[in-house]
Amino acid sequence: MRKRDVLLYFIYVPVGNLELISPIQIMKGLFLIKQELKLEDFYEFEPYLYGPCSFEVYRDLEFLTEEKLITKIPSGRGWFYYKITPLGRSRVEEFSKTISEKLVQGILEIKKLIAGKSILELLRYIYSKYPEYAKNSIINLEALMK
Amino acid sequence: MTLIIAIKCKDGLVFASDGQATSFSSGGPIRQKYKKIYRIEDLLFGAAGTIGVIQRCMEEVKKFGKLISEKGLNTLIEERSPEGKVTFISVRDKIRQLIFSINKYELERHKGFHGTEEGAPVANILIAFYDKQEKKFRIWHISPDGGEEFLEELGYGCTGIGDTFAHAFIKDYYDPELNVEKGKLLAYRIIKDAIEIGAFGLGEPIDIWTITVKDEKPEIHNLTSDEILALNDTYLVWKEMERKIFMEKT
Repeated sequence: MRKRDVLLYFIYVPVGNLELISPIQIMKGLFLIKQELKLEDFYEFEPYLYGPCSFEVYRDLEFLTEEKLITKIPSGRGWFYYKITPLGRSRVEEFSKTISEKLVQGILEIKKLIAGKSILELLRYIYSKYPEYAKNSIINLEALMK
Repeated sequence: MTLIIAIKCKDGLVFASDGQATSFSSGGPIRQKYKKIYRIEDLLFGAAGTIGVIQRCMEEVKKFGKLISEKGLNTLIEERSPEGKVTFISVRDKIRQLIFSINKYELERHKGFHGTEEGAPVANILIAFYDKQEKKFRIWHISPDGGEEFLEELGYGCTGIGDTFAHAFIKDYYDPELNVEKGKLLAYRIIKDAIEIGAFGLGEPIDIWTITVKDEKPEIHNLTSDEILALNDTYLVWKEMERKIFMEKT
């Protein structure tokens, strides 16, 4: 199983009306996938200025965009959402046949969790559960944890 | 149009710029992506102004890049007059002389053609480096008339048409205890916000460099595109947090 396929699958997994997903949601979602589903040979995360971050995820997002498996949608505020393309959908269909039902359910639950929280709620959740990844955060944790 | 910022941090120095140049075609001004920060040996060179003049100034600084990197700004170099008289001048003053000459020539040429100095092409230069002799980071600003100032005591320097915006922002956030990680974020935010406001003809991509020191040797790093994307996400979180604080019920 390639981590890039999990990334693509995570962008694809339909949850409510969430068709577009932001880079922060993707980053934190993949972090939770690694931590909570205990995936090995997955992205390595480090405590960064906004909590856990893997620079490799950004490179893979660029790669998937170049391969036309995902597309960038402007947010109107100088950054991009990501969305699966028809080509990406067919890749995901292939991939989903190779992974366990447990993993499918796990990824779905994490995407639901991500979709149900604002950015700050999501950080609060991650910071309180994985404080070692919050040590370099620019955000005052005490204020955020209120 | 340009915005270049240098920020001295407790553990290094951050040097950043926007990435858009405005050049003039026969049909009118056009926007182009343009790199505005260059590494010359252990120096980082950035400039605001007209591309051609910046290039000429940079060529002159390049001649002394190695000398400054290895021996510092006050190293004396030999000059020989046409009559064969030998004098000595510091590399620092030599560079100022050369930059003055280039800009003066451009001003006179412009005035001779247009009848006014207004709008003359000039270069306003910012150079950042680690001074091995002085064992400190330097932010050296050289204005078109050859005037100079060292800005590391202030902690930061800005040049370009967006610099008043940058000064207004940075004064509230700068702290000498800032580390390079936060310095990068501060530089990113200032340039990003200046671009978003869009009043200065600035544009992406944002280019960020750092100078740190290991075993008394400067280490220079140009942020990769994924590092810039990570900074952008941090910037969004920062702004989100500010909005939350502002909107919080009292």
